[in-house]
Amino acid sequence: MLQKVLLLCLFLCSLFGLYFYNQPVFAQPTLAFPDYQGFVSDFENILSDDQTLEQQLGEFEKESTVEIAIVTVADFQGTTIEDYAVKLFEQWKIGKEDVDNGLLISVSAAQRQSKIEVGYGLEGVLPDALTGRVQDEFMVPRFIEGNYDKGMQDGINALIGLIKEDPTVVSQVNAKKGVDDDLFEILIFALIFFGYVLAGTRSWWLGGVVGAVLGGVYGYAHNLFYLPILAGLLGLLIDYILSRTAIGKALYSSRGIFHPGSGSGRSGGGFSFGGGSSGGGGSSRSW
Amino acid sequence: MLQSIRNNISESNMNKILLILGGVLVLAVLYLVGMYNSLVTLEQDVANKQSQVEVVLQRRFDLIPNLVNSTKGVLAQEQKVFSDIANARTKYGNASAGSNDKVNAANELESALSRLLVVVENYPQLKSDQTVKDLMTELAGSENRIAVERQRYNDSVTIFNTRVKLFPTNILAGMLGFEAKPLFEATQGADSAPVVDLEN
Repeated sequence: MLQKVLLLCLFLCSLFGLYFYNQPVFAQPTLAFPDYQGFVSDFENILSDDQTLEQQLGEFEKESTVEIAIVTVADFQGTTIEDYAVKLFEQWKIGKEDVDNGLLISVSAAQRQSKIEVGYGLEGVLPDALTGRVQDEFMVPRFIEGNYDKGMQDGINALIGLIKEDPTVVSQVNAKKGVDDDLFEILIFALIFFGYVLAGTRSWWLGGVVGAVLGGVYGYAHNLFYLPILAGLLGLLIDYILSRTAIGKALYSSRGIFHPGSGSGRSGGGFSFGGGSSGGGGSSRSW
Repeated sequence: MLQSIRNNISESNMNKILLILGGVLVLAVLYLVGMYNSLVTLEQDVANKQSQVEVVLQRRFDLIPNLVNSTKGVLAQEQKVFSDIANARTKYGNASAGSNDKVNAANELESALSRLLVVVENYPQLKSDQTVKDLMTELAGSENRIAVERQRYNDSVTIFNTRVKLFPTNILAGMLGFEAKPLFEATQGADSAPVVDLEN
């Protein structure tokens, strides 16, 4: 009876914690951003030759790690182009994470506006005034003529030329590590290992304690304070099942058949930006 | 009555109960530690965002002498706006970081600057000058940065304040001296960069 009461208490505690801590405490009015299609996302369909640009920007990224993204949209969903650009940048995370070497060129033919949003790491090599001049000299005059391909191409060439002058914008992180995948593998391994050991003990609740302690240690380091409670409950559940059901007995009697696999389900190949951020730097123009 | 309960609970059961009680205690302590650490983490995030706001405000502050010097000659008859800017800038420089005076001075500086931008609009010879044009672009970029970093500061503060005020964290937060932090109020024009239209 007492055990049941305590279990119920634990359960309520965990619900309590989840309710108060996992609530989105701040609902920011968000704009609905489309997913990127590559370096060039011509949603407004004003560029007839996005393939050349895509290829050029891909090669420049390989050579310098600098990520330049182009987006064209028909409207900014009721906000300003500055606000739209910085939030889109935040969403897409353009540039490498360690140096924030991303650049976002937003153009709207319908709104007759353009904006170059500069990542934190490029603010040194591309001061606002310079991005303004690139637009004034190479982009806006062509845009006025309706020649978006030429304007975009000339603008990109100018920007790439400027960025190449500064070697400090190159990311030092060569390969992204799949930390999350590794963590997942460790968790699965730990689960199987402890399941294996706990199936061998007589207690049905030790798993709960083990889970809580492990969750506590991990949660302490990562500030996931509800983790010990969740992990404790999970451990309790697993140990209980293992101790009280045939699965556990089968597992116990088949000691030695468990070899946690080393294969990972990591998927590769898909295009994604590197996790960079910006803070409203750059300039905007209208025509 | 007690005796009969004692008799019913065997020694091994007693041990189990003690273990469970101990476990619950450990969980409770972990819970409190986690709660405290999360408040500290959120507070650090707010401090970080606040210093980011200071950085971009300083950036604008440093731009002003250049802008003033390159426009002063042409705008000889517009002394009022220059003295306003100089006054606000001095106030801003003297106020201590994070104080209300600093915020007020920053707002004053902002309105004086936007007036200068309007004045410059009326002088075609200034608008066509490349130095002035560049400085105007830099200033617009600065204003935009300030708006962005203020917004991020406000987002961070809102998360912190909500956590501090929610039950049951509010009890612990009150005991440990965590207090809700002020938001940047949107003053007139603070939420958008001044429009610098140099094409017309």
